[in-house]
Parts: sequence; structure tokens; C-alpha cells
Amino acid sequence: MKALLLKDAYLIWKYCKSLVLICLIFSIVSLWTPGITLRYNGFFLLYPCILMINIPTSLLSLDSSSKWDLYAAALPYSQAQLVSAKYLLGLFLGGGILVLTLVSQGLRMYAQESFRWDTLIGLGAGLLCLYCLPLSLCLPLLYFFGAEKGRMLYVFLLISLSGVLGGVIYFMPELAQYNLSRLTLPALPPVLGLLVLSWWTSIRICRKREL
Amino acid sequence: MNALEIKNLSKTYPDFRLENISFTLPSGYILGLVGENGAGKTTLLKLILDMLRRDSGSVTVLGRDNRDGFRLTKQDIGVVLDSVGIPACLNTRQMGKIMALTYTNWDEPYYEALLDTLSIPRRKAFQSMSRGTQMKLGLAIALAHHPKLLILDEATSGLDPVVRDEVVQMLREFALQEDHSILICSHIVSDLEKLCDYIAFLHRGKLLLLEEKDRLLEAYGLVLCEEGDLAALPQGAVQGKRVNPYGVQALVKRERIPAGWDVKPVDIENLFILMTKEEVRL
Repeated sequence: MKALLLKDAYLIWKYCKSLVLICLIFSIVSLWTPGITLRYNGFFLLYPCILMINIPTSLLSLDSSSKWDLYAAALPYSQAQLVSAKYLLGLFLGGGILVLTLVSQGLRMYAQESFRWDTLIGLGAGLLCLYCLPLSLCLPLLYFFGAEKGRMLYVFLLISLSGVLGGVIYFMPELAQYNLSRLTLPALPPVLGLLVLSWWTSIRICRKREL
Repeated sequence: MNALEIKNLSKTYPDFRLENISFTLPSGYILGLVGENGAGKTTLLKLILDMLRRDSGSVTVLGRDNRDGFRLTKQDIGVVLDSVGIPACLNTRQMGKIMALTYTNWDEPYYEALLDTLSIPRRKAFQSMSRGTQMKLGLAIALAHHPKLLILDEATSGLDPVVRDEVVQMLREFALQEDHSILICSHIVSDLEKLCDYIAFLHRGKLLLLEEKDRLLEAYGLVLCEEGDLAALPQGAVQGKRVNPYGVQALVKRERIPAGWDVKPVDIENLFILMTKEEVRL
């Protein structure tokens, strides 16, 4: 497992440095936004998450194009390890961006003398939901349909989710003003459950797949 | 112990069937698998490595079924695939670090020595290496954890003759130890002839023959004559023929040829071509 994570770390360093940099910039920019609502700084909060989800899916495409997936199947890794490494990496990246966002938003609230733990925890839960939901949906698709087709479905999925979110903000403006924290905590357990189900499904798909 | 035991192995695709393959590779020997494109060589290797699900039969690698704790068995297998499979941006050192975490008996000094012996650059990305160097790196990785079984798929294809000779030499040295075995499939039959103890012919998904190389070369020969002369030979003596404007080259079983016929030695490449094609006309 460590070997697989190290390999992915090398690939991220080579190919995805710019994504990490953009996430940092967004987190810094979000320091100057007025509050934690979808309307005020939803874009700055959500976009880094979308970028981070992009990394595990990009890595799967790179594995496929270099035929690493074939080679790895001949090496002493189990399918469960190969799949788990991608999920773990996704969680590390998501965790990283979550910590970064929470620290920057915590600092912003502190500077504006509006610091509240419940708001910060709610934000964390919300971002975790918004990160884990597409990750849970797209990774099994990528394993099932292969990197190319799966990636198209993943883009479609992201556009659909963004459309739904945009629709909610447009048609329910009162919701957009609403503090995120009150919506997100109840959603967290089912989303984490979905992530576990997604991980299990991906392992099943890979065990049945022929290379 | 046998390095490899395959019994009645079959795999069916809509347009291809690998049919009832059975053979054994004893430890300490090298088996060369010869076959035309699409004969099923790579399918067979993938079935051995459990990358494909078999329809029937059994595969035992280093004494264990390849569905039973195969991850542990793979610690003793070195693999070089035709595509190699190393991510394009990684260099030799980075691959060494990854493999050190992959194989429990990874030998870093030996890996470094192999890189030196094969003149593989340390910091060059895999994508910037020539095809020959990429293959050599694949081989260095396959050898650096001291495997007992090497499985090589077209590992010498795309290499220039000098590099091919180096690789063949390295594989020979590997096979000197009595518990080391190699299963190699290649289009370059001359390499297999230099290297292998056993030769197997795979043709359209079927194993045509598997024999000790020396016995195979003793058993078969070439007869050069007029096409009409072949009628004088006993039935079953001619295994294949190549007709050209100057006469005919016939592959024959030496034991069936009456005395007085001039039977010349045949090489593995001609043996395979003439055996798989009933009649070759030039």
C-alpha cells in the first residue's frame, strides 16, 4: 500500500502541482469573503474540492495510459490494495483541503470577531459531504467503465451536481442565505456510508475485471 | 519442485479460444513459448498471473495454486510485460523506492549494480528512455528482488542485437541457479534458441508441442529436393514444406526418413514456420 501511495505521490508532484497551488490560492482568497454561505463564498469553498476530486480520477487515467494498471496486477498487490490506495489518497487530499479551508475560515472569523465552533464544524461537515459525494460516485464508474469512458461520466456527474447546487441557489435564495452548518451535519453519516459502499463496490468491480 | 504446472487450462473469448493447455516447467529450466501474433501467448501469461479468469483447468506457480494467496507467491516472481507499465514520468531511482516498498526481499545494492551493468540512467524519466532502455529497466526491476521465477512477455522485442545479447546473457546467468526458472515468450525465435531448455509452440490457441530444445532439433530436419521426390517418403514423415522456384524445403521427422536421404539440421524458427503452416509457397 505504501508503495502505491508513494507512486501516486510522485505522479501528483509531477502532474498535479498546479491544482494544489490553485487550491491554496482559493483558500487564501476565501479569507476576504464576508461569511460562510453558498452565496458569499460558495465558489471559493467548493471549487478546491472539485479540483481535489479531479486528482484521483486523473491518476487512474494516467495509470491506464502508461499500462501501470496491467503491470500492477502482475506485482504483489491485491486488488483491494490497488483500489484502497486511490480512496486513501482521495481522503488525504480531501482532508488536506478541508484542514486548509477550516484554518483559513477560522482565521477569517476570528479576524471579523465572528468565530463560532458550530459554524466551523458545520462547514467542515459540508465540505466533507461535497467532497465525498462525487468521489464516491465517480470512482466505481471509473473502475467499471475504464478510465476514458468513466472520466466522461465523471465530468457529466460533476456538471450535474454543480447544476443542482446552482439551481438550489437560484430557485431557493433563502436557502443560499442559510448558514451551511445547519444543513450539513445530518448529511455527513449517510455520505460517509456511501463512501464505504463505493469503496467496497470498487473492490468488487476490480476483482471481477479482466485485464 | 516445479516452477509451473498447468493442467487443462482453457479460456474462451467470442473470437478466440485458448484450448486445454497443459505443461510443466521444472525448477531450474527455461521454457520458451513461440507463437504467431494472436496465438494466445499473452493470454496464457495473463492466466498464469491471474490477471484473467480461467474457464477451466488449474495453474500452480511455485507449488501453489495461483488463486490461493497469490500475492505472496508473486513476491517470488519477476515479471516483464511487453508494455513494461512503468509510469511515464518516473525515473529509475523513484521506481527503486516504489519497488523497495513492494517486494519484501528487494535488494537495493543489487538493483544499483544491475542499473550499472545495463547502463540505465538514474535520473531520466521513463518516457525519455529508448525502448531498449525501458525494457532493460523492466528487467532490472524484475531481477532485483531475487525472484525464483521470471515471466517475460516479448522482453527482447524492440531491442537492438547488442542489447538483446546483453539481456540474453543476463537471463542465462539468472538461470544458472537451480531453483531459478524462466518462462519467456517472444517472436524472436533466435533468442529463444540461444536461451531455452524447452520450447513450446502455441498455434491458434493450442499447444502444438512442448519438447526439450535439443531433442526437438535432433528429431526434426530439413530435406531439400524436388516437390515430386517427397512422394517417395513414408506417410507422416513430412511435417510441413516450403515451395520455391528452385525446389522444396520439407520439414521431416528424422526417424521416419529412410537411409540415403540428406537431412539437414533445422533451426527453431523454420521448425515453427513449417510446422504451423502446412505449406509455404514462395
